[in-house]
Order: sequence, then C-alpha cells, then structure tokens
Amino acid sequence: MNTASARTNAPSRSRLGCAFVLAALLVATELAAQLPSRAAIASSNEDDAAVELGSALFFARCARCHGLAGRGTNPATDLIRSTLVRHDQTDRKLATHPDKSLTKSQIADLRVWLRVLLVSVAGKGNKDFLNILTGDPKQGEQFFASHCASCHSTKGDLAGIGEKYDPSVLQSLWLNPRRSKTPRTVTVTPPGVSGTLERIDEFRLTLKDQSGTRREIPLDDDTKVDIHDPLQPHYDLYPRLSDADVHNMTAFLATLK
Amino acid sequence: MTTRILIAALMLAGWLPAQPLVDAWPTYNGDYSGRRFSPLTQLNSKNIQDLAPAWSTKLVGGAPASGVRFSATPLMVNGVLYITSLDNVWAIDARSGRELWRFYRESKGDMPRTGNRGVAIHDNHLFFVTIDNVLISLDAETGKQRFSVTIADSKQLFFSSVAPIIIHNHVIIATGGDSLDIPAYIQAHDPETGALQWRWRVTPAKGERGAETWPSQYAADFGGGHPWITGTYDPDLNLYYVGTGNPDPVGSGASRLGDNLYTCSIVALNPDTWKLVWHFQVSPHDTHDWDAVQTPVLIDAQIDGKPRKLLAQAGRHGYFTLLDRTNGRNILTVPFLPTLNWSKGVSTAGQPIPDPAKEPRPDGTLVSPPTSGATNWPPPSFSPQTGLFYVNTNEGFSLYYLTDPDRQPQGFAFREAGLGGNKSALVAIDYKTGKPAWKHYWRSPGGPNGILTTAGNLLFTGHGNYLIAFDAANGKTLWHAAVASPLANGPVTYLLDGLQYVIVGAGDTLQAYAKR
Repeated sequence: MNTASARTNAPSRSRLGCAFVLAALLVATELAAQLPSRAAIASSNEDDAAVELGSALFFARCARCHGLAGRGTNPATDLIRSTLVRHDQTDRKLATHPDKSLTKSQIADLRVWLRVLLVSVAGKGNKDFLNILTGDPKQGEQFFASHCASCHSTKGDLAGIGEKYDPSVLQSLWLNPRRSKTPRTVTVTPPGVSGTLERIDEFRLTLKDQSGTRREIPLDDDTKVDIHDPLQPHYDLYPRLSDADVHNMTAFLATLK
Repeated sequence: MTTRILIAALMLAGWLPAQPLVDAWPTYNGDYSGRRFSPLTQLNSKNIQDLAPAWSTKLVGGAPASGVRFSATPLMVNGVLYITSLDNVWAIDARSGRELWRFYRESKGDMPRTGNRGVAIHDNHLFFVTIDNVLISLDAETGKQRFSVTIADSKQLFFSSVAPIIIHNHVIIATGGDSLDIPAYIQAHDPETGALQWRWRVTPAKGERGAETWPSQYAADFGGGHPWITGTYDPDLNLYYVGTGNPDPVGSGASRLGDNLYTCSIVALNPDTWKLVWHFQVSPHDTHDWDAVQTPVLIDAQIDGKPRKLLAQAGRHGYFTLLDRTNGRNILTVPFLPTLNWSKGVSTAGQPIPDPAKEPRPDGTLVSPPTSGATNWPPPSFSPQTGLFYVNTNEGFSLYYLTDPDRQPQGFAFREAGLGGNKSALVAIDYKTGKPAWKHYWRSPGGPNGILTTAGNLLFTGHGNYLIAFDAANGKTLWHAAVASPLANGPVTYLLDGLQYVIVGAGDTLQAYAKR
C-alpha cells in the first residue's frame, strides 16, 4: 500500500466519485455485483484514502478498455487474470501502455485498487447478496396458512419480522430458526428417563430432568433415544419445498412490518 | 535396515505397495489400491475389547502462532512414524511415541492455510509439499533437507496440500487452489533432484481432446480442476488414477457452458509417458463447488464368473460410481445420499444430469448436499473380505446464492447459507449394486472422517471425540475410545515387534493403541 501518494496527489472526490457512489448508481444493474463489496474492501486491509483514489482513477481512466470490474472487454484486457497484476507488477506493463500520462503516484494508487479487485474475486462470501425478494407475497401467505399457521402467527411471534431482518437473514431464519429459543426434550430407554437435552454424542447424553437435576447417561447401539425437536417440522420441510415456495414465503414475511 | 532396503528395492521395482504390507504403512493409503484395508487379524471382532492405549504424544509445531492440526495420514516404515501438519514434519519412534526429529519451515503468502495430507517415502528420503507451493525432500533418518523446488505460483493463490505418491522414479504431486481462476496440474518430479519430469494440465490446451467441452480456450485456460488428493495406481495396467477438482469460476457456469473436461473427472494417466489413457467425468459442468477428488478405490472382483478390474468412488456430489478401470467404462452410478436434489437423474453414460434450476441463483436455491458435500476428502475404505465400500456421509441442505451474475464471472461467484437438521451416517455400500448393505446414523452430525478396515472384520473410524471400531460385516459398534480432538484423516494399522497397532492423528495428538 502507498498512503504517501494518496496524500500528496489527492484529486477532488466530488469530481471523480468513488466506488461506493458508482455502486449506488449501478445498484439496479448486474454491474454492481462485480464491484467489490464493503466487506471485500475492508478485508483487503488497504488504506481507505488510497482505495478511494485508486478506484476513482480506475473508473475515469481505465474502465473503458478494462471494464468497470477490471475483467476486460476482451481476454487481452482482463486485468484480474493478468499474471502481472497478480504479482503486483502492473508498473512494468504500464511502461509500454498506450496511455503514457499516468504518474508514478497514480500508478501506485491504481495498484491498490487492483489488489482490492483481486481480493474481491478470490474470497468466499466477499460479495453481497443480490435481490432476494423475487417471490410472490400472496402465494407466500397461502403457504403460510397451510404450513406454518398451526405454530406461528403474523400478529404474534412473527409481528414486524419483515422490519427486523434483512431479506437474506430472513430467508435463512424461517427455514432454520435459532436453536436457543427452542430446547429439545428427550426420552432415553433404558433407563427410561426424560428431560431437556443438553448434550449428545455417540456414547453419552446429558439431560436435565423435571427436578432440575443434570444426568449423564451412557449410550450404546441398543439405547433408544427419542428426541423431540420443536424445530424438526422446519427441517422436514426442506425436501418438500420448491425454490418458489422458499422465495414466496420470504417475500410474504418481508411484508410483515 | 533389511526392511528398509527391501521396501526401497520393491518400490523401485514399481510393484510395491500394490498389496497391503503387514509391518509398514508406507504410502498415503497404505498401498497403491486406495482400499485402506489391512490383512492383519491379530485384532479382530472377537478380541477388540482388549484394545487399549499404548502411547500418546502431543506435538508442538515450529511457529507458536500456528497450532498443530493433523489432516495427514501418518506413514510407518521400519519402526518410525512420519506425520505432518502445516509447515511441520515429524519423525516419531513408533514404539514409544518419542519425537526423533522435527522439520519446520514457515510458509509465506495470502493463500488459505487449509492443511497438509502427509509425506511420501522413497528409499531413505521423504517428500512433502508446503501450502506455499514448495516440494521439499528430507533425509528420513535425520530430518535434514535434501532439496526444495517451487512447484506452483503462490501469487496466483495456488496452494499445495497433497501427500505425494511415488511411482517408479516419479514423485507425483498436484496443485490446489480455487480462489482465483487458475489452471490445475498433476506433475512428476525427480526423486534425486526435484527437477520437473512432466506436467499434465487438467483442462485441455488448444486443439487437444476435451477442448470442445469449453466455449472458448480462454475459459479452459482458467478453468481450474485441482486434483488435491492423492490418487491410486494399478501396476499391471501401469495407470495412475486421480479424481480432479471442480471447475473455475466456482458456482457459476455462465462463462463455461459445456461439460468442462477434465474437471470433476476420474482420469487414468500413464505415469511414465504422462499421457491420458482414459477419463470418466463423474460430474459434468459442476456449479456447486463439489470437486471429485475423493479417492478412486481399486477393487478386484468376480462379476458373472469373470475377473474384473474395477474402480469405485463415492463423490462429494452424492453419487457412487463404479467403473471398469482398464478402460473407464461405467458399470453403475447410484446416489448414496437420500436427500440429493440437484440432478434430473443419471444419463445412459452413467453421468448425473445437472438440473439447471438448482444452480445458484441471486435469490437462493435450496440444494442438497451443502458445498461441503455428501462426503469429502477424508478417505473411504473397501474390504475385500466383506465386499463393502465404506464412506462417511452428510445429509443436509444449503441455500446457494449467486453473487456474481456477470456472463464472465470470476473467482467465487456464489455464497452459501447453511441450514439446520443435518444428519451424518457411516454407510457400507455393496459395490455391485451401489445400494447400502448397512447404515449407521451417528447420534450427532459431524465429520466426515477417514476409515480403515482390516481382515479381522473390523472397521475403524472417528466421530466427535472418539475412535470407534465396528463389525465391518453388520455395522455393530464394538469398541470406542475417547480421543483428544476429532479425527480427520483415516486411522492406520501395522505390526511392530509382533504387536498390531492402530494409530490416529487427533488434533495435535498422535495416539497409538494395541492389544493390552
């Protein structure tokens, strides 16, 4: 990273804009998805000011040939797959570049932005979720009535849930609710003991019985362990759900504001 | 010393260890077959209750910052165990567990610190790879470095974790890494100098057979397919079998329409001429990060009264595939995961037909298995005694989100949201039908872990913080012992001073068991 160049060579931010502004403008398009997310920029550990300068310079001077995300307009101009870029030796190539007007400090800023672009491409989960609310809330409501209403209420436990969570969280949450609110109960035979399940592995189970006493019970192939999991109806849904069911339900829950 | 010279001579002759040894575990899988089956019977389903801890050694790595976590198979030759963790190699006295020497070298670079699967031994020399892509050879007696050679470019985020395998005078390794779109290689090095002997690229070069399964040469050149797990070898056919990795970019097929050979394939290479002799693609056009690197296990069978040379793989994508290993022809392909929902069935050629509707989408698709797979790299086992193929499996669902909808996506184009209710099972598959002969659902999800079987009708594997022995024929739990941490790779066994040992690497601890 080269923060010195960022300080000495600061152009007007309002004139050149930055990645975030551009991403905001592009939010409705597929191009937005190609640009580094805030998470990716943060995980690159590059200096914020240099990132801003480098991105602004890139969009103004390079993007026409190399594309907004550096992926090129043809294989020859793809910077992400360039060995020189991966070795952070872009300055070598720029010596023979058609545009000779870039200064040393500008090149340093561009290298920062190219490193951010590489981090963005390489990281699992570095990119943001796109539009998740594609379903039909009306159909989601019908699904809710037939599959969920026996345990849940839109005016009770789910009131305002669409306001509380981002759609990506909401979609995971209704399929796979958090465990902490819903303890599992268990009956173990022999010895014929019931209680709240605290821990289970292959050969040992810990439960808390009605009197609040914690009991550890050894298990073998012949021990019958009946677990009642309040979340099981959710898991049992998975094999029967279409992706449309998933999206419709999420769209419906998102309307509960 | 006699054993060592004998092993060296036999290895040079190129036919050992095609069959399992009793007094050594000299390769990643114990022999070339990938069966992880030992002919030892001293421990058996009748006396397994007598198995008890012999010794236990907690190993400390070179850098305080990097904790030791075994994902390697330990080798045992001539009374010495050799095991690795990231950046570290140890020689351990197999009789006492005492450390004889440790080699340490710190890896540099931005690649993920995934793990290391172990060493290969040839003559009196060890070979292993580092996560930052260096092949290093050590003197097995002293741990002193003989040579090191760079095998791939760390700046492109290649990373190396494979346990090398020695065939003839070739040290065979392979690249790993699918963070950036990079080509994948299997390559052979000279055991004396480390010099590159040959390099086979997984995706075809211009004009080569298979190039037609990519929309452009550009897509193939950056198409990935890293074969990051050690393969198997048939000395009679002189063929090296490897499972290859998933194509790049990961999670989106938009820029690589087509089958994407030779990714997610089982390939048969001649180790001397490095020519591709046959291939079978177990998963055309993967879009779920399910590589096909799982061990291709060699099975010798009688089918309809005729001897057959077969090869079986239980894949991360959830299918059991059985091939004729002389020519790669498919015999059967059967799903072993009951929840699997991403394909439209199996083609007449024996390949799953991916359902495009189950590819990652911006709003999420509900898919089984998760990206970690129906199973993963930890080795399966095949017992010729029971005729069963054993594999640890995971049943579960994830939401697959496309995050890079570009027609030319790059790197990781998707992300996953894992869901709940997963179930894990140890499955014994009848290889002639692909159907389970028995199935043991674990009481809690986890794994998958590696497996060992023996002629004592035993199956050893790990789950949670236990090493567990099963009756291999019927799946009854026979014995268990608590271990320091969950196992990853498979247990090994051998005879030393007339005593049959079972060894596991559990977290940072090497634990030995023998008859009390």
